[in-house]
Amino acid sequence: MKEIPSSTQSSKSAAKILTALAGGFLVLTASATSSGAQTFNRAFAVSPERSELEVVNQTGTIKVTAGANPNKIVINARHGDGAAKVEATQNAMGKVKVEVTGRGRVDFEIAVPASSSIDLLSYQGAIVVTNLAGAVRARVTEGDIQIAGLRSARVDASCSQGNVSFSGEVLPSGRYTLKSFSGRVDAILPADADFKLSASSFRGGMDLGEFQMKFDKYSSQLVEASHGAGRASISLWTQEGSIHLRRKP
Amino acid sequence: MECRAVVSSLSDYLDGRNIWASDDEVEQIETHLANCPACRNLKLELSEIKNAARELPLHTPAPALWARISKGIEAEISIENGPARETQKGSGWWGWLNSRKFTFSLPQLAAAGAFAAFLMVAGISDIFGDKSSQLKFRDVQSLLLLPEEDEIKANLERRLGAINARKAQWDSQRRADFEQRLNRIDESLKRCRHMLQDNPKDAWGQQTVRALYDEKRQLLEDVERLKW
Amino acid sequence: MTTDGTNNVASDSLSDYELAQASARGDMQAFETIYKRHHRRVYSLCLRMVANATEAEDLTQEVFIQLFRKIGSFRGESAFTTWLHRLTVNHVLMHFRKRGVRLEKTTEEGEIGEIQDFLQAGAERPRFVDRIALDKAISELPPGYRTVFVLHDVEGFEHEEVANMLGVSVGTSKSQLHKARMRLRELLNKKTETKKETKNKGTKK
Repeated sequence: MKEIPSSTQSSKSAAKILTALAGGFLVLTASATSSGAQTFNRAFAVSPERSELEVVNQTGTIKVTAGANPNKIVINARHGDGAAKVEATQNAMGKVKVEVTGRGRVDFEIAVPASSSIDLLSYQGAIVVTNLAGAVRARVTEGDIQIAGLRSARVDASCSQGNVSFSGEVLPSGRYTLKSFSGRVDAILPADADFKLSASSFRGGMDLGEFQMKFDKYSSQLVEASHGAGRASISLWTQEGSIHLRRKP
Repeated sequence: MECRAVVSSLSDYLDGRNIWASDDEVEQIETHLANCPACRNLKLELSEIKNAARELPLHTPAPALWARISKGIEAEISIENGPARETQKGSGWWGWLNSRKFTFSLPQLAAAGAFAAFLMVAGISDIFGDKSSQLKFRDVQSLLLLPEEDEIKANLERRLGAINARKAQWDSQRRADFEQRLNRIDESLKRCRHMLQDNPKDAWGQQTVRALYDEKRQLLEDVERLKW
Repeated sequence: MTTDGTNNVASDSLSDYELAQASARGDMQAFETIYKRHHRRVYSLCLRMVANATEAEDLTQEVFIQLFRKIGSFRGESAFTTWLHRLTVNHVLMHFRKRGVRLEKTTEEGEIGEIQDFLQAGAERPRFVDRIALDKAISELPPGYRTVFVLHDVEGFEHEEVANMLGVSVGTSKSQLHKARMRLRELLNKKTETKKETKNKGTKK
């Protein structure tokens, strides 16, 4: 696996026409000194069984999905306002790390092998993860987290201010933790999901009605219950928001 | 959906537990409500009743009730312990304490763990004697909230110290945001620790306090990873 | 923590759990503080369930004496108020059983009547839920409706718990609650109309 050198995007450049994943669009700079929208495109070769990705973003969205190529991590980043610096490196073990420093907005669209483990952090902005089967860790200080189409055994999503939603398979050995300090937590699970649930909401209440569960503890602030044989473990927490458990349609 | 069906479902709908309703039924009710002023009105009135029920005035019984209660208790105790004992307050109660079999209080004290050890050492009468010893009593109690709490707090302090050193270089917006978030968590922590002090065995209380410490740690870890 | 004007500064700063432990060791001052903090809620709960002040006072007395006997068994696993309220509710329900007050079956007035009623109420919406009026209306409910309403809406117990306490099904608890609210609405509407009538000097409905 080769090491690809990092690159720095300067913020002082003219308008550029982008033909990125989302289709073509034209961005013009407002003035000579403010930033334009630049792309940053990098691809890293990885082995699907040991594919790992870490992204640390300041402001902007991070979207990660299963890509068509099982041996590549493909990163597309679009700069917004400000002077952010994006650095993408790959270590000797093949783990890819993307790090943004400086004040500026960067939006990421990343395609990874479905079995990848990912670890995403964003200060401000949404995180969207779709169709993966590896371990997912996502943290946003201010922004929503949406995780959908997962077949993963380990999901850890937490945010300080924002909503967290998860929709996916529940594997028998799975551990799924969804937390939000002040937003709402939604877990959308298959009707035959087999899990132990621990749901705690200080203020916002809980709506767990779509599953016929066996209750161990039941109050409007703490529920400990199980569905089926109770093998997977699901932990939902919010301090000021509400918790919703829904059946997949 | 007709009025009759909606009306009979309104309470369940207001209570929002949705253990009975599918999204479909809820949608039907809401569609009906959007088009039926009478049902809408009813829903509003029921909801006002439900909300007002939470704020009903507190009633006060006759002031003499306490006297009747304490007499009732004394009567019970004298029956249990025989006529030859003191029944007045103050030192009389300590005499009563000595003569009475408190079979339930020992397991209780044992369950309280170190709290009990503190009591044994301090002497029970010290605790309710003067205010300063009560403060000590409270401090011990608060240390014992979670077994690992000291360690958690020390780690947080360390991380916060390192961050505070760099905070001066942040712009004011970022500093304000960070402090606001930290304050919010601290407010919740204060409230939940207080609740836990009232009910130290409450598993939910313990869980919540742990989760809040974890959220605080997470916030500090974010700042470290973001390299601020 | 609010106190009811107790002069005992020392006891004021102690938590319910600490006071309970002290009471269990025979500290009557601690128990009196507990009384001062909680007696109004206990009394209000009894009063709303039995709708009679003398009966409510007697029940409150019995509850506190029972509390003193049992206070050693409070282990702090739930809020003290929750524990105390359960104790109170159980005591009042036992009182109902002894007196032969039947809570499950209440005469059912036709639902048809209810619907006619609200359809006639019309679009005009007076502000009619004042707390005093609601309190009075609660006392006018039949015991079955009243108990479920007090337990669920006033005290905040969930239907599963109410059903458990009353020995009925969750479905019954829910339908009783609904009927209680509908009846309260009726009673409150009557009051408002009575007020309007006296204002308008005998205008018919």
